[in-house]
Amino acid sequence: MDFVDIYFNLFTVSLVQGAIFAFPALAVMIPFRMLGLPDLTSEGAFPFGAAIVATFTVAGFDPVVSLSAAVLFGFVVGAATALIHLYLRVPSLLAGIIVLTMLFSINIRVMGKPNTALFDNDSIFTLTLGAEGGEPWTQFALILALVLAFLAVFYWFLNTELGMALRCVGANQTMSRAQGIPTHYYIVAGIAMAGGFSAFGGAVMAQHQAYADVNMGVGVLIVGLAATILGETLVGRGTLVRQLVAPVVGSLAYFQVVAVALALGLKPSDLKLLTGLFVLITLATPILLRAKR
Amino acid sequence: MRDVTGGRQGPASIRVHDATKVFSPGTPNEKTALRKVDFALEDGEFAVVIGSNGAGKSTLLNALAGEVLLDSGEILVDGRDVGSQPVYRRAKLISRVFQDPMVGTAPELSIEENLAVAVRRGKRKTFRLGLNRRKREYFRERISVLGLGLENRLSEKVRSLSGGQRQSLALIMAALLTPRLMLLDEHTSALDPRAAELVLKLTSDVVTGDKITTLMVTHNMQHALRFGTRLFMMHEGGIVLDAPADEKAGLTVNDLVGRFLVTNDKMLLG
Repeated sequence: MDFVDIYFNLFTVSLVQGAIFAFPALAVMIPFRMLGLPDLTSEGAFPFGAAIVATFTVAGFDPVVSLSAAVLFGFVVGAATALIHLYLRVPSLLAGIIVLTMLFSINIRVMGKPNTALFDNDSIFTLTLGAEGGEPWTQFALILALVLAFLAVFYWFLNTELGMALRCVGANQTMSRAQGIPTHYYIVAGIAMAGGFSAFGGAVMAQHQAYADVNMGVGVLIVGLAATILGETLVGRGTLVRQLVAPVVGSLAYFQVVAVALALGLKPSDLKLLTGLFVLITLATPILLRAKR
Repeated sequence: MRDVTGGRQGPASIRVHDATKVFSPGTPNEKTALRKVDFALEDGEFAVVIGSNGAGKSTLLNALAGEVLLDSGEILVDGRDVGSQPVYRRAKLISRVFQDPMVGTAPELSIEENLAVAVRRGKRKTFRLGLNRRKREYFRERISVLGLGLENRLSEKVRSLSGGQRQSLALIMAALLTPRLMLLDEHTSALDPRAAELVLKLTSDVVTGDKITTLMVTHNMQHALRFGTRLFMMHEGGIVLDAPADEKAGLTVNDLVGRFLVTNDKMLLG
């Protein structure tokens, strides 16, 4: 009975978490799947988005303006990683690590301290769901609406001439250049978009918990990766829609699994180990199966 | 203005002037891949390039495409030197079908999306939708000439196509916007004989139908004799035989093999 009680308490909160983490999950999926260029920037862009939104909010800006600023700055750090990779010839993973490491210092500089409380400030939650910021259910609905709105715009973009060229670059760079597509620009744009997604997720997280912290990015990447892989297992990635929906479904499912694990008595500090093992097993299974044959 | 006609009748759309390329200069591996290569192609000319391995065929093709930048010399398209332009900029004028069927198309995109990319080759991309009903109709019509039934599979991913189907699609894509020069890089060598024959026939139809100036590299001497309106034989980075249509028509495989041996003997004696 204990388990049911605890899980029931965690259920809606986990839905909210899952919806928020859909953004960094998308930020992991875009470079990984659409550009074929693994990138770690989202781990740094997530707390950066939180720091930006906190700083803008404290400075008196409207919550929506603050969120937009976070997206914009997310673009910039994504672009920075891509430029370091493309023009300084640093491997993309290392470029991401360099950027996210530097962002740690930058985040503290931006906020002036390692964390910022936003308890007395407005957020998109207080704006739309009342002064208390709503209940988990309504919060979930709001965030999910945002996720779907972002996805719809992104889906439309990927079907424009520009978006098709972007996907083409991800699928085949040599062919893209032969088709007159300047691949470098598209890679910068693609990674920048991922940075924007992750920063937006961090910003929404900061508004939701009314608190921004430099350490809130730790593990975001592995959660995003786990969500992407889990989502792909659940909905597949055979079509563009499925590929886009997978990280969202995966993120929602991931946090339910986490809730179950917690309800079963696991410590929150065990989660990173389990998540890592999950990703490892999912990545290794096809290889081990092949080796057996 | 310089003479870009190469001393021939008709307008020369393509002129390669004294093209030279040395790989790894100043090292023990130094290799002269192109040695003052000089020729012009008239509008609509279909030139076939043969030569042994390392003769410079691929380097010539890559130099024209922009994958390799020349050490010296010029590449003129309609009188304009494009020699310093990167691949993606030249793509506006020059299209290409690769040797490897995996390279010329985007496997994760559908057939119609590949065509949508090709129909904007070298053009500015916009926020307009890449596909619409009119474009689909047009693609269906263009791809139905293949006779492969691909017009009914437009929304399928290219991943699911065979090598021959991919090369056929790549050929349609390369000719979709009529280029000033089309490069065919041993584009049938990775295919089984039946598919190769089909793609070659299609190549001939497309090139002659749209009067596309074409440079085709091949290893197959029979193909070299059967197709094209002009024949180049390359050796040691230079063009050692340049046979116009009438002379080419009189050549046999034995003649070509003979020329190969002569050039090889020369090399041995030299």
